Amino acid sequence: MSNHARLALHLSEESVALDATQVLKPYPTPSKNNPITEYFATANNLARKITRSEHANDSEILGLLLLGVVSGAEFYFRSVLGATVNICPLCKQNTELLQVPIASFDFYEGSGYSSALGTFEHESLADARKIRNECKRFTGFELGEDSSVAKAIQDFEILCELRHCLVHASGFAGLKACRTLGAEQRSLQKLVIDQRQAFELMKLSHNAVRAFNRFLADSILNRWVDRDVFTGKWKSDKPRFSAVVEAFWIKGEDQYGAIAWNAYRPFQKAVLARKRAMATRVAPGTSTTS
Amino acid sequence: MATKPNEDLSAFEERAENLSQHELQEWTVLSQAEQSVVRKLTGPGAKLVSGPRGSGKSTLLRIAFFDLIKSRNALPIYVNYSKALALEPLFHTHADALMLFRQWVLAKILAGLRDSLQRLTILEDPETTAAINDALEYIESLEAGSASAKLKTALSPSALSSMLHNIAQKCGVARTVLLLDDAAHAFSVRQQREFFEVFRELRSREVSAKAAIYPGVTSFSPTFQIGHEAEVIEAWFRPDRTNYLPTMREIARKRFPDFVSGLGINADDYLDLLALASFGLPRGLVGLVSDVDDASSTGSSMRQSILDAIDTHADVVRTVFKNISDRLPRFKNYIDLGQKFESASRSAIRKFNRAKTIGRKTSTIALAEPIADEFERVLRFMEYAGLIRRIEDLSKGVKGNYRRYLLHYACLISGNALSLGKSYRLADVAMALRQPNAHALVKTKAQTLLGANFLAKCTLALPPCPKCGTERISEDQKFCMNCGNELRAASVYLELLKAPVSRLPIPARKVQALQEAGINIVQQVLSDETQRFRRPGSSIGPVWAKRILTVAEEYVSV
Repeated sequence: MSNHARLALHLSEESVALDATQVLKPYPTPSKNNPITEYFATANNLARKITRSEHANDSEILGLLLLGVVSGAEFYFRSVLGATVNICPLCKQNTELLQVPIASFDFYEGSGYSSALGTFEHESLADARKIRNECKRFTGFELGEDSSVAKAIQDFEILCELRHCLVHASGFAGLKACRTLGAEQRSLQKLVIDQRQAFELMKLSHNAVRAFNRFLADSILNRWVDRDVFTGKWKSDKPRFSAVVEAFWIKGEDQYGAIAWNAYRPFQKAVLARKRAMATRVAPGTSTTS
Repeated sequence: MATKPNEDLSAFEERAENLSQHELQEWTVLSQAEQSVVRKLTGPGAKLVSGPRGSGKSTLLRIAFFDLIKSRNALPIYVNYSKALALEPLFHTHADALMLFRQWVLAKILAGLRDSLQRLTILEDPETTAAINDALEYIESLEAGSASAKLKTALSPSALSSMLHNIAQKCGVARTVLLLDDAAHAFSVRQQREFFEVFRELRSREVSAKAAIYPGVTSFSPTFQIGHEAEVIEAWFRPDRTNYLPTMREIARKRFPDFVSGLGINADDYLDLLALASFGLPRGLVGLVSDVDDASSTGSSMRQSILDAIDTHADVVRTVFKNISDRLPRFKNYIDLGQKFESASRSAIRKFNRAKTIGRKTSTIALAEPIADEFERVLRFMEYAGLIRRIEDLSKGVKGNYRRYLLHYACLISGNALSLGKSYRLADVAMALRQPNAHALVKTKAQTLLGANFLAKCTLALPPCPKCGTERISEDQKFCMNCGNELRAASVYLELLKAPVSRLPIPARKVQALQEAGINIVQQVLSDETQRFRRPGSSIGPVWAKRILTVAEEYVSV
């Protein structure tokens, strides 16, 4: 007889026979949408489901909405940074020494996502500083301190902190969360979110995604102009230019009727102006205009 | 009358900030009350000068500025924030718009510093020159709608305060007085709150800030306590006070000497009527004189010219009120109710005056208390536009308390609310208005004038969700509570630029002349540097061209 006593203070655990792989389903088709479109599809779908449910005003359900939105945003940051490697030769150069599990190449092949996603395994991007660092590591771009994107990412940190409370502390705000959120009270507090607040917070996530997306697209294109990647001729610039706009736009929200050429026209002027300026500098006194 | 009032176009300039020091000093007459306001503006302590559009707030701030330049008792800095609304589109496109706005507010003070130092003939040190040049570049960029420029060193209220303290010491004075004009930012609550936060933070023993605000529509930051943070001083001539007419006559004589001498022996009667029709708003008087001069030069009789000018002015005042709903579309229902209230009050006054002798006529509506909060907001909007003016409350003991409002005199004259009959003398109008009988007033209730269910109309006019049609619950709602669709708000500033010229508070014939010249929207007026609407045969001469531009600028500003 064992001398180990076992108290029955509650129901006892039992044997569970579960094949965890059963919850995994093959991803239906490779994603046809770019990262930002995919993010908004996820976030809007969640918002729609919750507003239409009988729990639309339930604080706990609204907390789950926020978790879903932050998860969508985090996946956006991963996939868009991964996409830059495929789109931009300069980003690719920047990530040459980045370590990726070898199996990632096979794993992500045909998924529509970059194999660079492998570098984020077991990493969380629900953190403003981490986003800044990964952006620098992947693209070489610094978010700067006083810019719209910096503010949007900084505000996203609020959401990340709330997510942390919801994921790790059953909705309780610990000392760090209280500090980050600027609460004066230094005691344990619980997150009780109403619908209006939930949507306000969701807006922070939307803002971070929009600002980051705009920042990346602008930065990539303008760096190409500076590094003379563009020729100023649509025929030769089309593949690269189209790859960028298609990776970053939301069709229907863009101001170009979802036609890459329309977006290229104002851009072409900047490219040609630079070419002319460079030509004048190279050959002083030589007129470049006909 | 064929006299030309003044060759100088500036005489008809309606905005004090566009007048030179000389013009301001030559043409301004200050009542005792205003002299006291100027003393407060030049002294220590934070002050808020409150008054509706055109009441003379800028004039008082400018006079205080020039007084301090002359006396050298303090370092004065005059700053005009009328272009604040041009930054409003940034709130729709930049996450850091509030920070940009804050920097703009502080950079404008630096820009104003240059003007002060030049007037005081004090040389800038290289550090100050660099900071001011940087600020000017930044301001230009932001006001043009671009947020790409950055200040080399970010500004903070405390750093600016300390910089001003050092410069003031170099000027040999202990204090800096900031005269912040058009600071209400009445049409952007976020800007307004941020501004008063900066205002509060700038306050110190060495720096005293004074700001011009509008009655009723200014909302402050949660930490800004009126009375504690700043004293409110009123800047609005009381048209029912005994010293009002002599002061206004003197203003007219100083500013339009030729015009006044051309009025002949009845000059005082005419001027009194125009002054009363301006309802204590000097800018109104300038407009009225300009209109009378315009009409009389076409051969109309002086009586007809004056009455026409008053009709036009009444329309202008009502349009200014109506235009609030262009800037604050969510309050459209409130503005509609205000228009009904003005019309119903006018009818009630007309009815009251019908059987009264000239000495017993009234221009006052006394509204029984309590007044519901929603309707209070309607009244505040009317005060902002200068359509009504709140005067002392009336206590009738057990019968209750009444809140007394004067109705704009031009609207009363134009709507024949004085019930003077068909062929009255102009002097009768002035007589009826200049000596208000304290006991003559229309005692009524808001529901009597507007109907029993009038409060049901005080609802926010918010566009429904474009996807499912569900009504919005609040003005700052960001998502539809029914379908979760994201709701976007349009930029007020960009909408104002696209507004048709018919929305401008100018006479219909001027609107027509603009349209004939191909100027159909406000943006075209503002960007028309060559003023192509001033073509031969047009009813728009140089004076009106300037007025139209001023009106258009005001339409898209605070």
